[in-house]
Amino acid sequence: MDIIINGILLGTAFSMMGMGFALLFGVGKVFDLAYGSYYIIVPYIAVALAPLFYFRFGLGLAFLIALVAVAVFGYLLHRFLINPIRNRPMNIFIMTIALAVIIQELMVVIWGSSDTNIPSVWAGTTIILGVTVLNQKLAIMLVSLVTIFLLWLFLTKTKVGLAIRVVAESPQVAKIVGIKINKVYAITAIVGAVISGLSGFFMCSIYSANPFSWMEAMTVGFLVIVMAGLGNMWGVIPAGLIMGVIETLVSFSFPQGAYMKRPVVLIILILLLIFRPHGLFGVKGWVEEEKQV
Amino acid sequence: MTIETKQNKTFRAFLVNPYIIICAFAVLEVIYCYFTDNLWVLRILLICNIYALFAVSWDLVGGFIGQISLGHALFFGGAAYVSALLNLHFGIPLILSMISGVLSAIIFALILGLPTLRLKGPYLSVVTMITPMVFIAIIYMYPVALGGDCGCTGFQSLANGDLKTQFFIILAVVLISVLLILKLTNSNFGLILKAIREDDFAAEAAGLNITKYKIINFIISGIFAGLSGVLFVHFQGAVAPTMLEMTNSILPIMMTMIGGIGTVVGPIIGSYVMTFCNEYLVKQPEFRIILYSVIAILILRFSPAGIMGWLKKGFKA
Repeated sequence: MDIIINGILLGTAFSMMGMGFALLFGVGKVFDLAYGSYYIIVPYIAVALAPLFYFRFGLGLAFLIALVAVAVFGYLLHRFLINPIRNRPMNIFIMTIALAVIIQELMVVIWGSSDTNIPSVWAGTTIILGVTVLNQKLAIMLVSLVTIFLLWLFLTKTKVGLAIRVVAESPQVAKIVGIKINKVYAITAIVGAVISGLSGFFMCSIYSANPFSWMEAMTVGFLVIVMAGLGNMWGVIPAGLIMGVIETLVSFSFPQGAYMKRPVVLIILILLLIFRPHGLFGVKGWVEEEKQV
Repeated sequence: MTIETKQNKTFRAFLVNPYIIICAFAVLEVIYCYFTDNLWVLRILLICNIYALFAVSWDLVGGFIGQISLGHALFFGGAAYVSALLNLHFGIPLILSMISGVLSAIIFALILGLPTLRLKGPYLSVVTMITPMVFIAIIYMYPVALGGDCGCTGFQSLANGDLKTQFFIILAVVLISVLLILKLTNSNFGLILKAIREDDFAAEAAGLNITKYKIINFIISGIFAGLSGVLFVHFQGAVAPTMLEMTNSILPIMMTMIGGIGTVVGPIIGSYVMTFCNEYLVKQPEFRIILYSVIAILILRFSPAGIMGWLKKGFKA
């Protein structure tokens, strides 16, 4: 019970991280590995700005400013680096890794390489079904669920969301019906960056954050969407939950569990991919389609 | 067309012949090495050569067959570990342990190559990315036998640590390997690889056994990557889990992309550019990695086909 509840709480956070990545990857069909840097920039900026505001919700205001900053950053990155060479996914792949490394080093220069702490949004613990849970974890779960719900509303109920889904399905059709593709890409870049930053801010108060944790965030997002399968946005929710439960299970049940949790997930993922080469819920042949475009 | 322009053209073709470029470069390096006593530059050149072989071996998989492997550190580090541990714990002579290290790369190539046969695109990248992580976890779990976090030292180094002899040995090995790969890619085999890259369905319909060629290609690439790893570890005299990490898998990809993917000369150029940038910027330790990455981004953004594409354009114009 312990394991399941903690695993689900962790899993929703993973789902949210995977969701942003799935949006960026599913619509734009490029690996934006700077995804991890959005995750790590937001908490750092928020902490740096918080002392400027003396009143009670200083951290909250700083957090909002940080989110805006990361959205602008995501847009600029998309506008000047990714969009001009969109037809060369490998170049974008390497470029965004280089960019993430630059940001990491800048952060080391500015803030040093030690861990940062963020005060919890909601301190204390609660007891659910006989299990003691950190309130911060509940907050993460709530934020994840709200974000996923809002994203669902955005994608299915608004006109922009419809345009995004059309572009994800087929950019050529989108062009024919008069959707401005570049605008859609820009919007997804901004939304993806904001989701990543959001999850970063809330995750960092439980897990320590340092300039090098972008790698961790990026790996998690990548693993979740691959486990879910590409071309299916909503598969990331069960995939994130499964991953969260497995990781908690392993780290609770073995003495050296903390070392072993990632490799176990990886081995399960490899086996899964051998038997289902397109992930759990993936669309078959999605990768080939991408080649022809 | 007059005779002069024709001669001019053949002369140009002679100049851009990759065999000539590589051999000329190697000769220049030998001459430089023979006369210089600047050991620092010599050391950098040596590292450049090793990484050049590593990047070329990645290009064989990534550039010619289009499988973006993020796990070449497995061959590099795995072969290095096997060779170093055999030499350290069992006292096997250097040459034999190096050969067995390279042969072990075949096993690693099978481990990485067999599950990824049916996978494509990002799925393949993920599986290749995570396999080395599993090996890192194994190394952490047996700290006594495998060295754990700190790795291990104390095995023999090439030519008893004499830098100039090491340089000649490594240059010779790298030159021969690169020429072999070049020959291979210009042969029928290379043509088949390119056919599979462009359209694997069409290649299969033409009667090619795709599975066989993919596995063979992976093994060849693994052997050369393992060779570079073995050379590196016996030059450096220490082996550590960082050799298996993802950064070490991304390095050859970066070199290849900067030099030009799918050309054997490109990764070599990329390796020299990156390693020299890396070593010369030592004077600004804080901004070294930043500058290095900025250079990489600028090259990739403004010359998407890499330095090779830029050079080719220059030669045609």
